[in-house]
Amino acid sequence: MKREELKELLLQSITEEIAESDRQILKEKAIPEYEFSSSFSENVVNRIAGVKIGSLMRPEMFARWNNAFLRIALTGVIVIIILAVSIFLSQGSLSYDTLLGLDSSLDEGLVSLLVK
Amino acid sequence: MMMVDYLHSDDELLIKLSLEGDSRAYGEIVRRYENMVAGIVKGMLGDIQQAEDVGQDTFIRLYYSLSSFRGESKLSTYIQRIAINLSLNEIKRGKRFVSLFQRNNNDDNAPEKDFSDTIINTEYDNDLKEVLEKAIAELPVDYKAVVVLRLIQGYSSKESAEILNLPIGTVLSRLSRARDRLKEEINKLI
Repeated sequence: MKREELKELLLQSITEEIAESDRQILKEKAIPEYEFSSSFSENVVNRIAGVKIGSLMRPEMFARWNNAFLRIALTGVIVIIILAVSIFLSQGSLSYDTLLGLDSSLDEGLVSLLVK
Repeated sequence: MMMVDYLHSDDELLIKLSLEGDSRAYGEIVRRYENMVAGIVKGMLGDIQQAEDVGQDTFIRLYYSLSSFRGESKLSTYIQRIAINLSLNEIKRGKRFVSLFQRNNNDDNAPEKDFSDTIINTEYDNDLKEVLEKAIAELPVDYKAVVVLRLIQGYSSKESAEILNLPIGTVLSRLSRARDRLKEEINKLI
């Protein structure tokens, strides 16, 4: 079949039903055939498995992070309580100045120096 | 444990096994329909790397929608609808990218580039398959799907209408206009 005839058959086949034999000729000579790479199905299954593992891992990871943050926060609270108790025992009060370590320091303000 | 002959199992069983987490069953679904999806996706987008990605996305989308697949249409029809929708999305995204690129060029007072020329005039080739590929690439988006289903997949107008979920009259008018456009494009290329 000449190329011009093939072209006409091709265009005709878009709007009209053509014989199976003509369809075969078109398949062979005019209609492109496509396929994916040989690893296509494997890649799809791996991508799905990857997403699944990711989604399964997420709650476990969040649970671990929660535990870690909880432990760090508890340790911090315990340290603060111990420090407060030790300050109270050594200084006899828990005022703001005591907490900042200013309780026993001398007042070096100009007025207090003039008074002295 | 029951031995399953995946190769000869029907779609229904493979879907059931896939939903139970059997990756080999889903692998068989992919192998069974990958050429069909390649025909649609590459027919609409061209033989480019993005087409392979869209093909993979089609099967991933299918996997996550298997539980809602009620079997009212054939599995092949369902897969083809997903493939066509994702290909259309990809075409629209590509157009947005090109128009943005062109706008940036205009901003810089650079001459406007016609990207369609780069598709057609790269090399003169007599191969009718290649000519048809290039001619389909030049078709408006709405015509691409009907032409790919009709020419590359070999479906009748009625089957194409069912897959695209369009009235038969719409498919016939699109095919008729697409034929005229293809004739023009093919005549330009040969």
